[in-house]
This record gives sequence, C-alpha cells and structure tokens, in this order.
Amino acid sequence: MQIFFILGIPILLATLTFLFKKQKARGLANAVGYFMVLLLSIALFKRILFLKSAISFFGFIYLDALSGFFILITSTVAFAVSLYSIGYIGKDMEEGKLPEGKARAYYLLFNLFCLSMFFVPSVNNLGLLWVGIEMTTLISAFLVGFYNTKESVEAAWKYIIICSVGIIFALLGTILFSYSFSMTGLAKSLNWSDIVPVAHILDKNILKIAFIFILVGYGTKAGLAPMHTWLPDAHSQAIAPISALLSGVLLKTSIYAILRFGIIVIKGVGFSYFGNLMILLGLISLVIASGFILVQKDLKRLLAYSSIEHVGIISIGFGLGAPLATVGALLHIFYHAVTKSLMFFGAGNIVSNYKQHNMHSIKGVIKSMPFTGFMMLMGVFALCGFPPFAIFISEILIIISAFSIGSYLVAGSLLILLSVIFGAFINHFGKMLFGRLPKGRQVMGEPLSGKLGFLFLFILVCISGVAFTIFKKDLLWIAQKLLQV
Amino acid sequence: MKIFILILQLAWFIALAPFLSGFITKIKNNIRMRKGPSIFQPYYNLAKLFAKSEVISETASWIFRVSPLVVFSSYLTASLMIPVFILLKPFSFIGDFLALIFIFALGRFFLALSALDTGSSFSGMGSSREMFISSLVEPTICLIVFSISLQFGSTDITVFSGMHTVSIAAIITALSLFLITIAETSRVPVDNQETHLELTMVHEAMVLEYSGRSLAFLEMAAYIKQMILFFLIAQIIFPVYLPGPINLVQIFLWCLWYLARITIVAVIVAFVEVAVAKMRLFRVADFLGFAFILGIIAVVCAVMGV
Amino acid sequence: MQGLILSGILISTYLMFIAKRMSALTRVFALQSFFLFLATYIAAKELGQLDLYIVAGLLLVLKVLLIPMLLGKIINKIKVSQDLGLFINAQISLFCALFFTFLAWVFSARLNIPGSHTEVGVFAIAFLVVLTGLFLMISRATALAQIIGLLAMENGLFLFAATVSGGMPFFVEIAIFFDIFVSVIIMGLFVYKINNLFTHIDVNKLTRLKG
Repeated sequence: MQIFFILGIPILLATLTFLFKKQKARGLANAVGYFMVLLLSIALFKRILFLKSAISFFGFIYLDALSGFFILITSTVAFAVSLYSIGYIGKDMEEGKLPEGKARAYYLLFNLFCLSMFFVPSVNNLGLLWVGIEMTTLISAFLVGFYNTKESVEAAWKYIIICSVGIIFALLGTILFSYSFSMTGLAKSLNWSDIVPVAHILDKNILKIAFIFILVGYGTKAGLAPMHTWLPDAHSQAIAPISALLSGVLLKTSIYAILRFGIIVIKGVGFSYFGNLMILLGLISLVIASGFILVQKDLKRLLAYSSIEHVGIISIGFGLGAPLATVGALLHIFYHAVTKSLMFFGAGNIVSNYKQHNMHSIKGVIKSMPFTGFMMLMGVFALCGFPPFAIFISEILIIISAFSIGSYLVAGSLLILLSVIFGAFINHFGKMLFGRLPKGRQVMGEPLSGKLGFLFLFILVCISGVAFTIFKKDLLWIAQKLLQV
Repeated sequence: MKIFILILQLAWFIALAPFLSGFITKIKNNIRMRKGPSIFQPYYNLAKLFAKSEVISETASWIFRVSPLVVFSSYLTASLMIPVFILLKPFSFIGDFLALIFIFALGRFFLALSALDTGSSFSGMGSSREMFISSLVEPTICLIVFSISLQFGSTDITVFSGMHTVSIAAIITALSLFLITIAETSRVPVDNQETHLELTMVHEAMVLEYSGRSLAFLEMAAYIKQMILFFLIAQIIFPVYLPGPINLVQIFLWCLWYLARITIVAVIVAFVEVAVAKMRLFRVADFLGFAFILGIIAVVCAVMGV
Repeated sequence: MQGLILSGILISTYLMFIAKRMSALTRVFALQSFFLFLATYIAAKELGQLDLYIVAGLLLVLKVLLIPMLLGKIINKIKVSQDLGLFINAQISLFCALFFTFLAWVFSARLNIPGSHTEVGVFAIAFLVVLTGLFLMISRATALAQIIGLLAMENGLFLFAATVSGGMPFFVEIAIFFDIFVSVIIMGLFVYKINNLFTHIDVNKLTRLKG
C-alpha cells in the first residue's frame, strides 16, 4: 500500500512547484514530502522483510526485499538532497546565477527524477524496467546541463549519447532473455517473477550472450569501466545536489537492474560465469579510477572517479559469491550512497563559495567554512574506509570473504588499489582543507537547512558503522532474504 | 525445330535492339514534355549509316578496321548463349556465364584499343575513362554471376531461365546488375549518350572517329549489349516459365512476355535517367563501389541461402 | 513478399553508410522505417492481432513521418552546413558494412535458432542494422548523425524483437515507442543548445572536459 504513496508524493510535489510562489516555501514543502516518503519506505521495507512472499499489485508492481532495499536507499538520499537544495538553490538565486523560472524548473525536474528512480525498483516487467531507466537518463540530462554553460551542455550531450547507446544494448539483452523464455513454451511474458522459477531450463548459450549485453548496457549506466567515460563529465557538471543523487542513487539503480538479470543467470548458468564477469569489470573500474584519481585537478571529477571506484568494489563484492561478500556489497551500496552524498554536498558548498572547481586554487576550507570543512574531513575518512565509519565495515567484509574463499589475487589488488586511492585522497583534500586562508576570504556560514542535510547524513554514516556490530546476525539474514528470491 | 528457334531468337534480338533504344528515348522525351525523334529513329540512323562510305584516318592500323566486326560479333555470340525463349540448351557448348563475362570483356577491349589506335585525343580520353569504369564494373559482374550461380547451383546459363523464387539474394543481385547496366550502357548518371561534350563522353568518345558501316556495327553492338543486360535483370526479377509444348502459339506468348518485362525495365531506366544528374567522374567510383558492395552482399546472401 | 521487404531494409541500411549529407541520411532512415512498417503490417495481417496493427500504425506515424519531419526542422533551423562530417569516408564505410554483414551472419548462426534459413537471415539483418547505427554514431562527427544512429539501432532492435520472440508484450512496445520519441525530442533540444553555445554541431570539437 505504501508504494502508491511513495510513487504518488513526488508527482504531487512536482505539480506543487507551480503553486508555490516563494522559493523557500517550495523547498520546505519538498523536504517535508520527502521526509514522509522516507518514513513510508522504512515502513515498507520492514513489512516486506517479515512477509513470506513478495507484494504484487496488478501483476505490474512487484516488491520483494531487494526492491524495498533500493527504495529505502533512494528515499534516504532524496530526503537529504531535498534538505540541502533549499539552501543551495536559495544561495544561487541570491547570487543571481539562477532566475526564478529555472529554480522552479529545478524542483519540477528533481521530483520527476526521483519519481523515475522510485519507479525502477517497483516494476515486475523487465521491459518497463528498461523504460524506467531510460526515463532517468532523459530527465537527468536536463539536470546535468542545468547551468547552460559550454562545459555542462557538452557533458549533458555525452551523457545522453553514451547512456542511450548503452541502454539500447541492454534492450537487446532483454529481448534475448525474452527469447530464451519464449523457447520454453510458456505464455510470452517479460515478468521477472515468471522467468526466475524456470531459469534452470532456459538455453544456456542464449543466457550467456544476453547477460553480456545486459552487463555492457546497464553497466554503462552504472559506471563500470570501460563504459564509464560519461561519468566524470556528467557528475562534475551537474548542479551539486543532483550530483549527489546521480552518484548515490542512479548508479545503484542500474546495479539493481544488473542484479535482477544476474539472479536469472545465476540460476540458469551457474554462479561462476556471473561472478567472473563482475569481478573482471570491477577490477578494471578500480584500476582506471585509481589512475585518474592520482592526477586529478578538479574537485567534483575527483569525487566522480571515486564513485567509479566504489561501484567497482560493489561489483567485486557481488562477484565473489560468498554470503559475507554479498552482505558487504549490499551494505556498501547503502553506505556509499550516503557518504558520497555528504561529500558532494560539501563539494557543492566549496565550489559555490570559491567559485571554481580547480583543487590547486582552493585552500584553507576549514578556516573559511568551519562546518563544511569539518564535515568534509570526516567525509574523506569515511569515504576511504576508516573505522568507525560505515564504508569500513562493508569493505572489510568484502576483503575478508575474498581471502576466505581463496581469491587472493582479487583481495590483494583490492587492498593495493584502495590504499593508493586513500593516499591520493588524503593528499588532495589535505591541501584543500588545511592551509592558510587565501587573501580576501572571510569566514562564511551555511544555511541551516544545508547543515541539517549534512548532519542527517553524517549521523547515518556514523551510526551505520557502529550499528553493524550490534545487528550482525540480522543483517546476514536480511541479505540472504534479499538474494534468495 | 531447334535450329529454327535459334535463328528466330537471333533475329528477334537484332530486330528489337534498336527499337529498345528508341523506346527509352521516347519515354525520356515524353517526361521532358517534348516530341523528340520517332521511336524508329535508330533504324533510320542505321540504314543511313550503312549507305555511307567510311573515312579512315591514315595513321590507323588494321585494328581500327577489324574492331567493329569483332565487337559486333562478340555481342552477337553472347546473345546466342542466352536462352530467351526456350529451356533447351541451344549453344551451351560455347560456354556458360563465365564465358559471357569474358566475351563482354573481349568486345570492350577491342573497342578501347581501336579508340587509342586513331591517335585522336578525344578517343584516347574516352578509352581511359572506359577502362577506369570497367575496372570497377567487371569485378561486380563477376560477383553477380557468382551469386546467380550459387543460387541455381551451376554456372550454366540455361539453369537460369527456369522458375525460381524471388529471394533476398535475387533482389540484391538485380539491384547490383541494374547499377552495372547503367554503367555499361552508358546512361546517366555515368555517361550521357545525348551530348558530345568532352566532359560528359565515355562511350561516345570511343566511337567518335568511326563513320559509315563500322559505326553502324558499333551502334548495333551497343544496342544488343543493352538488350542482353536488360534481359538479365528482367529474368532475375520476373522469371520466365510458360510451360507447354514448343509450337508457334507458345513462341508468340513468350515473345509477348519478353516484351512486357523488357518494357518495365526500360521504363525504370528512363525514369532514372531523367531524374538524376550525371555524376562527375570521381563520384562514379562511389556509385560503382556501391554496386560492388551490393554484389558481395548478393554472394553472401546466396551462400546464406536467404 | 517478405524477401522484397527484407531486401528493402538491407539496401536502405547500406545506403545509410554512403549518405554524405544530413537530409540524405534522414530520408534513408525514413525509407528504412517504412520498410519496417510494411513488414510489421504484413505480420499483423497474417496473425490478425489488433495490437500488431496498432504497433505498425505507431511505427508509420512516429518513425516514418514525425521523427524525420522533426529532424528536418532542426536541420533547417540550425543553419550549419549539411555536411555530415564523415570521419571514415564513404568507400571505407562500405567495406566496414561488409565486415559488419559478415559479423552479423556469424553471430546469428552461432545463436542456434531452431527454424528455417529465413529466420537466420532476418536475425542477421536485424543485427546488421544495430551495428550500422553504432557505426554511424562512431564515424560521423555531427550530433544529428548520432541521433539518427541511435534511431537506427532502435530500428534494428525492433526487427530483432519482431523475429525472435514474435514481438514483445504490447504495452512494453508502446512504452518503448514513446520513450524513443521523447528521447528524440530531448536530443533535438540539446542540439539546439549546443548550436547556440558553440555555433557548430561537430561533436569532435566538444573537448573542453578532459581527464
């Protein structure tokens, strides 16, 4: 039942943008709406966890534990972003960078974007899943090219073209899946819940070829190298709150799509095929990301490459196959979403204050913006996997299970690359955060709503790290439930 | 009976060939909304040319005198090899499809050589252009022949004249052959038969030095070549199969069916000639390259069995 | 009849490789979509299903009429030269076309579809169209050619779906159609934006973001 509200509230908010005249009222209504969505999705997730089978409406909406988990992630980050955007858009309007009409357009697009991201995990039909992901591409393209500068329009064009090509390959894979299903003689259907029970009798060759197309296609949207080339441009040029949504949620939505098909393939062909491909792509992503992070000059591109790195880690986690690794990967999806959003908020504040992206010219952030600087400092440690923050837990789970099942090469390269990235991050951010205040800069504050957004995420990051040790057994059980469907 | 039909077929080709050319010119002029010369003008031209005496350059050698006969006889032999009316094997001991290609090449070779022989610069230019075009055309004709042979199982031409289904390979072969026919029969967009401007001549440049009976033979040869190529296209798309005993009624029906198909191809060619502008010579390479690729695709489709 | 339509699709695909101007490419794309419409219409008549008729109708309206008209309007409005910016010239493109045909044939033969020879042939043609779209996007330097490449890929996928599984469920097809239409509109909007900011639509020159 909650799913209808979860889908309905963004639509309502999208229409409300035309009613409210004042910017602040609009932002506040947005934040309140997404808070309700967050509560609803927590309730939904709780309900699904304790049910035997999945919830299904009209054969069209299909919610099992995996969908509920992803809806929860989306609503968490959406709520934080809605809090942050009140302050961010307000500041931009004060400075004159955004006219009134554009600010209204922002809220409209933001709500449509969130709607499409809620739509993707809730449908049963694999074709509609494709349509949902294509919708997210189209809507977020406007948000990427929002500022209408040369760089952002270029980034938006690359984003649309590369992701559309990828998605067409994904459609090819979907058609091949549908073909293999039609060969079994059952009624023609693209529903996931119909395909999974008969997965073991589907033609293996066709499943293998189809999955490669799916991996290439949805992997483009997920940011797996070597199809990642749109990611640094799009995520660095997008407007800051949307960068958080893109990095935190949109990549994970595509991973959701890969997982759905992956479950069919695991049941049909066996785990090693799926696992090998995922580990391979994950390792390539990590290598490429670490290379680019070392030589990076642009703050937001740095964070974008870090997203590629983390998607690679998630992919390796899923590819290893041990239950502990899978738990780690699932948790990593959530923790990375939260942590990366935190970092993008901070980056947004820094960029709008210092008016440029280049890291070499940004110095003394802690002195000029104490709150943001402190949050960024904590965020850097969180992102690199320090205890007691959340990402440490998920990464350590993945590494432990890699060692325990004997893939020493994977575990070793993971460790080496993570430490390289850690070093690069500390180097870049150390230069930015510390140091003398540059001339002519004074101490700036941030709006309260922005601070609230930060705090919300930061608390989540801290708690998740600690909470794991308490809820170990429950989380393992949750993960089993998520993937055994 | 067989011999009679063979002679009839030969006579049919020779008699009808100029008419086809005049028919196409008539259609073109109709589209251009003028009256133009009558349909039988090519016949009048040939009659006039046979009555005139020849003017031969002093520097020309025996090749110049011999060429028109060689060219004419080669195309006539080619027309003997093609089974227009009957499913019998008339002169198949002469050769099959591959021999057809080489007989065409013989004619072309002698024509180009004789044009060089006169020492006139216009004819030499026509020769070089013709060789350039034929270097692209001949491989394509080979591919078309291979495609047809793969579809029917043998390179014997008589196999070709039976009934067959219109498959993808057949249609692409026909299209490729159509583009080649435009090049071989010197039609727009490759060459312009109606003008004698230096920029636009290929075939006309080669026959520029000829006069009198030799010119008549060369014109006749060109008409017969056109007839053969049109027939091949028509055969691929509208295969002939009129079963029945070989008697005069049957032959009459065959003639009608033959005329109908040739007319359709002629009308299409006329429309293409009117609608398109002549291409510059370096673009002809693009055009013929496309025909070449279509030829390869025709072979691929034939192998795929599509 | 089927042979004629399939060869029509095949020939229009090869014509796409040698198109040198934007309006020519748009026209060839409309031709290809028209043959696709004929194929769907005949399939609809054979099977007698109403949804196939609707799908065929949508194909005609959207891909043969509306989208080429939209693209034509964009071409007229942005006032850049009609040159497609062939990165790989026409003759070599044709050789690539040959290579793709071979690739498509090998792929469809490997897929082991139980059925007659024609099934393998149609499969190969569908895959060839997808590869054509991909090739157009890589080797042509203007933004508009990239849009048409995308649409050609989608054409190929439609043919694929029609042969392989007898088409996809009805509402999925409708959703995909409208999705493609909306994406063409949005991409057209972006071409305008690019033209306004950069005064050209040569994507090879969009290199401000590096590293």
